[in-house]
Amino acid sequence: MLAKSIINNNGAGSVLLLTGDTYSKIIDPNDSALVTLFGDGSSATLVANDHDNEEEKIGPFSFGTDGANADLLSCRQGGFKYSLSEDDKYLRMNGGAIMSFTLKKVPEAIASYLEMNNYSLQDFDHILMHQANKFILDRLYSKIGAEEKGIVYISDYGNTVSSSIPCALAGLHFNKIKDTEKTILLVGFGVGLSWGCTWIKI
Amino acid sequence: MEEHKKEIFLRKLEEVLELEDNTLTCTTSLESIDWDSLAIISSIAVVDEIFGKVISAYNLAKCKTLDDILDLT
Repeated sequence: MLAKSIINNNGAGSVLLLTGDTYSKIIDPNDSALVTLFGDGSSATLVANDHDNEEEKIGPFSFGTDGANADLLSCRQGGFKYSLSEDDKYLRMNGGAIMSFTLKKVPEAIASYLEMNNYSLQDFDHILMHQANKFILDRLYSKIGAEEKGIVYISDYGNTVSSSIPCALAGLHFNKIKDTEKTILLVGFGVGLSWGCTWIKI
Repeated sequence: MEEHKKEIFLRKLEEVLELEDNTLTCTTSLESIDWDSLAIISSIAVVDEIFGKVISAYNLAKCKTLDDILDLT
């Protein structure tokens, strides 16, 4: 959203959007639930202004947060407020509660985004959600009735957190969809707790 | 509750927990199966899939048997 805004309002020609997370540093090697989920990842995405084309290539955004449940997925130590201590320097996740949150909130967020902008799922060639894990993605795509359009591109990377959508886009670009322009609904969710939707044409 | 939905729930849960067919009944205690974090998230997903309701992890944690989980739906 910031990249789009900088280009539209400040006249920048292009913005290089960088993401990166190295969760392996904060994952307890003995926490079998988390160790299998996450992968370290980074991405670089060039968001550029196509001056010759008036057509929108990035859609409107919608965001939400639920700070009251922030501790369901958090790493308390290591910032300025709580210094590192040996007993709790790791990421902690309440898997069940995160599952409930995701299955409830993500479909609601998508429905509200579609309604707010008068879109329907038919307007999109693909739906790409944050690549949390295959199990939850299959359930989410099925729940919103988008099994065919839903993209799961996780086996090479695991959950790369902030880079999961760019990584999946890159994987798709090189493998499946590079020939024609596609409109893709993007849906992020996770730590915060937070969620957000937009679409892109690439 | 419709009996056939209960049946579908039990069979689906066996599938996702990789248990032998027909090993689960409504009275099966969670303690007697390998009720780990994966089982918890799987059961939330299965309940949502079959009953269209997202149960909270907090309520799920109070359940002792599969019947208790079905009571949440």
